[in-house]
Amino acid sequence: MADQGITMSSLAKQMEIATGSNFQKVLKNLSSSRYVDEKLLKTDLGLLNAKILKLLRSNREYDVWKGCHATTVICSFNALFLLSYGGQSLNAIYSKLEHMVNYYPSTTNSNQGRTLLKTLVCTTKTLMDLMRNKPTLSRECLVPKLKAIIPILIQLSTYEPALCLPVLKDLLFKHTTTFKPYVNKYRTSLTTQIASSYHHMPSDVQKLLCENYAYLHLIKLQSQHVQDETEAHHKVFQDDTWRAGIFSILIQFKPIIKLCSNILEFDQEKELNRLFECLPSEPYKDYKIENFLSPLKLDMNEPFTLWELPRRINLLVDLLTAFVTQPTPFPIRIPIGTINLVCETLVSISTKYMPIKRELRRDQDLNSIIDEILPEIQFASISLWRDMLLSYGKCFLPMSDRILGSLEVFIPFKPKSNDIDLDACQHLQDKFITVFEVANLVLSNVGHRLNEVDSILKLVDVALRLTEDVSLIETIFENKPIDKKDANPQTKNKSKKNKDNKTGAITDLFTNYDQFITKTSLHKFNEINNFLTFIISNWRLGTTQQINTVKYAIARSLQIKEQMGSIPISFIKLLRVLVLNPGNERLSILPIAVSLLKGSDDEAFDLLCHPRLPMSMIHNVKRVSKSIEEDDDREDQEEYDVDTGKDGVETHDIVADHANGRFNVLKTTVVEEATTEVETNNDIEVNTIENETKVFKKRSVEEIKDNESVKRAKTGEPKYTEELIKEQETADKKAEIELQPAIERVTTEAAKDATITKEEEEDSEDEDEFEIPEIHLSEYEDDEDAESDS
Amino acid sequence: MDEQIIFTTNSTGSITNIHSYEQANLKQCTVSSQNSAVRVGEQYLFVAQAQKSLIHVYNASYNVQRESVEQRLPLPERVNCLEVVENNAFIYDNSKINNKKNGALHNLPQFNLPYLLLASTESGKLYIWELNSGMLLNVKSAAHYQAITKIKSVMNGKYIITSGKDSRVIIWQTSDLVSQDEPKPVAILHDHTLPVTDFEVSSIHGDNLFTSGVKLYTVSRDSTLRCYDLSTLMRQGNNKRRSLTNKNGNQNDEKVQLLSTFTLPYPINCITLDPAERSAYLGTQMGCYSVSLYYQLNGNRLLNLLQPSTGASQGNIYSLIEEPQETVNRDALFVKNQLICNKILEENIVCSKISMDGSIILLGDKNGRVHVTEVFSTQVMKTLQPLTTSQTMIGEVTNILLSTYSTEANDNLSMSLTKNKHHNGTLEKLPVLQRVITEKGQTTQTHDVWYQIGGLYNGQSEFSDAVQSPLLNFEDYLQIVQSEESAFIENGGVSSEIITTSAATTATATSGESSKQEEIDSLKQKVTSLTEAYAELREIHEKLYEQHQQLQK
Repeated sequence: MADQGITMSSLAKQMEIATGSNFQKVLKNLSSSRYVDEKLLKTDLGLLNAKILKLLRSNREYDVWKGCHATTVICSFNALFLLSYGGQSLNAIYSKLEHMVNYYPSTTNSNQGRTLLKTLVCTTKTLMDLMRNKPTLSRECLVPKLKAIIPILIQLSTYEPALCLPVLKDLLFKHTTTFKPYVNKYRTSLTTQIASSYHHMPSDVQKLLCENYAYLHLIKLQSQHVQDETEAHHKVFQDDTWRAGIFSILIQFKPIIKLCSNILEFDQEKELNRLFECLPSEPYKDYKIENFLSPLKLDMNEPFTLWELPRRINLLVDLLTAFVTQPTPFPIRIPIGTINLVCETLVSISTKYMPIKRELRRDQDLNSIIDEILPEIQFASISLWRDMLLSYGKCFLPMSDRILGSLEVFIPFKPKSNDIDLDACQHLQDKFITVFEVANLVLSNVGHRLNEVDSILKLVDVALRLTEDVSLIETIFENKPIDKKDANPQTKNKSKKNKDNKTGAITDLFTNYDQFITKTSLHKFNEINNFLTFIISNWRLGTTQQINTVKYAIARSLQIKEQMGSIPISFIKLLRVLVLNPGNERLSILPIAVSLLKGSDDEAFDLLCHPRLPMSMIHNVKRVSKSIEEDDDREDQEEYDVDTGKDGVETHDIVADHANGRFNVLKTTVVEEATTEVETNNDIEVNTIENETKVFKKRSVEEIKDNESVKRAKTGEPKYTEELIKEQETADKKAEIELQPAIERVTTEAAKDATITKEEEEDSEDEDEFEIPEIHLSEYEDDEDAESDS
Repeated sequence: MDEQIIFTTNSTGSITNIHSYEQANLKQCTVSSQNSAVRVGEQYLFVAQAQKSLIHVYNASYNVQRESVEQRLPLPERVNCLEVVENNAFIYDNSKINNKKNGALHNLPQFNLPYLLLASTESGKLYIWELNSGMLLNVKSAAHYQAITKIKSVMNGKYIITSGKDSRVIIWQTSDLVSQDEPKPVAILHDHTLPVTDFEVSSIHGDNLFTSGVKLYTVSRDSTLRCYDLSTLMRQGNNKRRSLTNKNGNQNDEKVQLLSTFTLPYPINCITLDPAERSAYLGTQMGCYSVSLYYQLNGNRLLNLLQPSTGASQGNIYSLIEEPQETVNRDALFVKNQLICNKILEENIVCSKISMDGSIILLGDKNGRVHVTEVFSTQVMKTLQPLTTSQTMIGEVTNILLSTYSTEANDNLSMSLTKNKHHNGTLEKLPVLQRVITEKGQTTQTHDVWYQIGGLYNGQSEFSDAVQSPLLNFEDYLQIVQSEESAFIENGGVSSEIITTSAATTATATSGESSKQEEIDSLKQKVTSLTEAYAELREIHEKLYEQHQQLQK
C-alpha cells in the first residue's frame, strides 16, 4: 500500500493547520495524480472540498489565502475535482473577492489584505482559465458567474489596474459576447484613466490600458449607416469596429501635428507639407467613437506647457500600437500605408530642414524646450516603426528605403554643417538603441544591394561613439582654462564655502576623476554589437568605419576581459564577423581575436584555425596502412598522381588545384609527370603532354583558354598527328582565325559523340580513354565559343 | 508524423501521404506547366489553371481534406509558374526574440499568409502580388525572353531566382522587385545553351550571402547540370556606388562562379537535391540518375566535386556515365573526367521530390504516375496514380509537393479549430488579386493589409509578478506561495497563533503518548511559571496602587 500515499482525509486535515513549508508540502501532495480516482470522488474529494470551502469562507485572511492556493493546485492537477467542485470553489472565491472590493479601503490597508486581494484575483483567473473550453463546465459554472465577476473586476480595475487589466483583457478576448453588456461601463472606466492619469502609471500598466482599450473594439459598435437602406447590400466586415477604432486614433495625429506648425516653419519644407496634407482626417464610415482626450493647452509664453506635446503623441502612438500589434480572433485590415505616413510625418518634424519660427527665437527656455521635445516626437514614430516591423515583417519591404532615409533625419547634426553632433547623440543614447533595432529589422529583409548606404554609415559612426564611457564632469574640465582666466567661479565657490558650510568639498572632483565616469552598461554594448555585427556581415564598410569598429571590438573586449575574466558573447560574435568579413582591408584580425579568446572554447575560431572541411580535392576517408600515407597531404597527393595518373594533363589540373597557386610545387610536379609519361606511353601521348606542359608554362591564362579549346578539338583525332602539330603551330600564331575550322569539325564530331561515348565504355584501352573525354570538353567549349562569337 | 504528397497531372490533382493510403482528388484541377502549384501558408494550396486565367485555391490543411475549390482568384492573364515569398515576421522567430524588450514570442495565427505571390506568364512576364492586400506591386515584363520554367525564393526570401526557356537563369533581389519600377537583376547566368528546365538551391544557408556556402544547381535540356556558388555574387559589389559603376560599364559584372558542370547523354527534365546535399537526382527521359556529390574513388578516397577550381573560370567539367555491369577502375575513369552515376528508376521522369530524411524519392513520370522509390535499394515502394476513370486523359505529372507534418499536433489543432467560433473548418477568404499595378511612393493610399497576429506563446506571461498556472511550472508556483506567505508571517498576531497550534499538532502526529505526556508537563510548567510571574506582577501593581492612593490623600 506504499504507493497509495497519504490518505486524502489526513492530507485535508493537515491542510487546515499547516503553515510555511508544511503547507507547500501539502500543495505538492495535492498535485499528485493518485487522487485522480473516481473511487475517491464521493468521499475523499468531497471531504477535501468541504475543508477548502471552510477555509475560503473563514474570516481569517490567512485561511482564505490558503484556501485559494489549495483550490488552484487541486483544480489544476485534478480534473475530477475541477469538474465536480470547481464551480463551488469559484463561487466561494468570488464572494470573498466581492466583499473585499466593496470594502476596498478598509480591507486593503494592511499588507495581508493586499496580498490576499492579489491571490483572490489570480485564483479567479486560474479557475476561469481551467474551466474555459470545457463545454458543459463553462456553460454551467463559468459563464453565469462571469456576469458577476466582470463588473467586480471593472470596479476593482480603477484601484488596482496592474492586477485586473490583464484578467479583463483575457476575458474581453475569450468571452467577447459575455462581456458585451459591460463594455460601456468598462470603456468609461478606461477612458477616464487614460485621459486623467495615463502619465502617472508605470509603463507596463500604460501598455495594458492601451491594449484593453483596443480590445473594446472586438465588440461590435452600432454603426449608423446600417439603418441606411441604400447601403444595406454593402458587406459588413467582421473587423469594421476594430478598423473604426484604428481610424479614431489615426485622425487625431493631424491636429496635433498642426500644432507643431506653430513652432517650426512648415512652409520651408515642401515634402513635409505634402505628407501633412495626406494625413487622414475622416473617421471610418459613420462609427462614432467619442474622442475622450481633452484638448491640449499650449502656451508659448509658458514654455513648459510644450512638454504636453510629446506626451500626447506618445499616448496616441501607444494606443495605435495596441491596435495593430495585438492578437485578434479574426484577420483585421491594417492601413500600413497610412501608419507609415504618420511615422514619416512625425520623424520629419525636426529643426534639420526647418527653422524655428522667427518670433519664437528669442526666448532661451522656449528654444531649449523645443530642441528637447522634437527628438521625442521623432522617436515616437521610430518606436512605432519598431513595433510594426516586428509584427509585420516583410510587409514594410517596399518602404525600406524611406524608413532608412528617415532614420538619418533623427541623427542630430551640428548646426549649419553636415557633421554629426556626437554629444547630442550621447544625450539621446537610449533612443538610438531603438534606432539601431529598427535599422536591423529593416536591413534583415533586404538583400546586399541597397540605395540608402549613407544613413547606415552615419549610424555606424553614432554607434561607435555611444560605446565610449561618459564622464559626468567632463564639461568642468573643458571649461577649466576659461575658469582660470575669469577666476570668478573658483572664488565664488570659495566665498560660498566660507559663508555657507552646507556645500560639501568639491576637491574629489579633481582628485578622484574616475569616480565620475559612468560606465557603459553591458546591455547597451550588446545592442550596439548586434547592430555592428549585422552591418558588417552584410555590407562592406568604408575604411574608417571598419578600422574604428575593429579598434572598438578589440580594445573593449580586452578591457571587459580584464574586468570580468571572460568576453561577452556579443563581442565574440562581433569578432567572428570581423574575421570573416575583413572588408576592404587586407589584414585579418584572426590572430588578435584568437589571442583574446585564448583558453576559451569557441567553435567558430577553432574551425578557422584548424580547418576540418574538405580543403583539398581528394582526401582520405580512412587512414590506409601505408607508410607514405602518414606524410603530409601534398605528398600524399603526389603519390597518388604517380600511381594512378597516366594522363599528365589531368593530373596537372589536380595538382594545380591542390597546390592552390603555389608555383614552385606545381613546376616540380610537372617535370616529374612528364618523365613518367615518356616511359609509359607512346609518342603521340608524349607530344600532347609536352604541348600541354609548354602551354601551361608559357602562355597567359587567356591564351590558354582559347588555345586549349582548339587543341582539344584536334586531340579528338589521334590519327592525324602531323596535321595536328601543324595546326597547333598555326593556332599558336592566329588562334582567332583557326577557331572557325575547329568549330566545323566539332559539329561533325557532335554527331559521332553519342557512339563514341558508348564505345569508350566498352573499350578499356588506355589510349582511347584520355582522348574521349577531351572530345567532350572540346565539343562543349567550342560550342560555347561559337555561340559567343555569333 | 507523416508526409503529405500533393501531385498534379495535366488533368488531375491528388492529395495523399507517403506512409498511409488515403487519397483525395482535387476537383476541377487542370495543370499544363511545371511548378504551377504552391502551398500558401499551412492551409491553402494554389494551383494555376491551364487554359484559364485563374488560380484555384484548395484547402490543403493536414487534418481536413476537402476536395472542392475553396476560392477562385481571377488573374489578368494565364500564368505558368507560382511561388510565394514567406513573411517570417520577427514575433514568431524564436531565435530573434531574446529578451522582453523585443516583444513577446507569439504563436502563428490561423490566418498566416506569405508576403508575396509570384507568377509568370508564357511570354516571360513576372507578376508580383502582395498576398495580404491583393495589391499588384509590380509586373516585370520580359523578365525572360521566353516562358519561365521555375521561380524560387531563396535566403529567407531576400532573393528570387527564375529560370526560363530562353536558357537563362536570373537572380533578383526581392526588395528591388517590390520597390522599383524597372528592377534590374542582380545576376544573369547564361551558361546553358538550351531551355533551363529546373533548378535547386541548397536548403540551408548562413545569415548572409557573404559567408554562407549556398549553391545553385541548374539543369537544362542541353543535358548539363551546372553548379554555382552563390556566395561569390557578393564579392563584386555590395553598395550603391559599386552597382552604379556596374550600370555604366559592364552590366553583368556581378558574376556567379560556376563550380562544376556535369554532362549526361540525355536532356535533363528535373533535379532534386538530397537535403544535406550529398547527392543530386536527375530526371531524364531514360530514367532517374543519382550523382553523388562526394564521389568515391578507388579505396577510401572521397572527392568533393563542388570544390572551386582555381584556374579555369568555367569550373570542372565531368561527364556522367551509367554504372556498367562489370567492375571498373573508378580512378581511371575519373582521370578522364568521367563519373559513374547510378540509375534509380527507368521511366520517363519529368518531376521529382525527395522526402525529409532523404531516403525516399518521388518520381513523377510522363504517364501521370508517381513512383515512391527508396533511394538506396532503388526499390519502388508504391506507385501513386490519380483516382480517375479515364486513364488516357491523365497526361504527365506536373507538380509534386511534399510537406512533413506531425500527426500528433494536428489532433490538437483540429480540436482548437472546431472550438474556435470564427473558424468552422472553413478558410478565410483571401483578398482578390488586383489587376492594376499599385503606384509606388504614393502617400494617399491606406495600403490595407489583412493581417492577424497569433496569440502569445504558452510559456510567456505578460506581467511577470503574477501568479501563473501551477501546471506550467510547479516549482515557480511554490516560490510565489512562499513569498506571499511572508506577508502573513510578518504580522505577529497571525503567525504566532498559528505556529503554536501547528507545533502542537506536529508533535502529536509524530510521537505517541509519551510525547504527549512530556508536552503536558512542559505546558504545566509554563502555566505555573506564568502564574508565578503574574502573581509577582500583581504584587508590584498592588504596592504601586497603594502608594498612589497614599499620594492622592
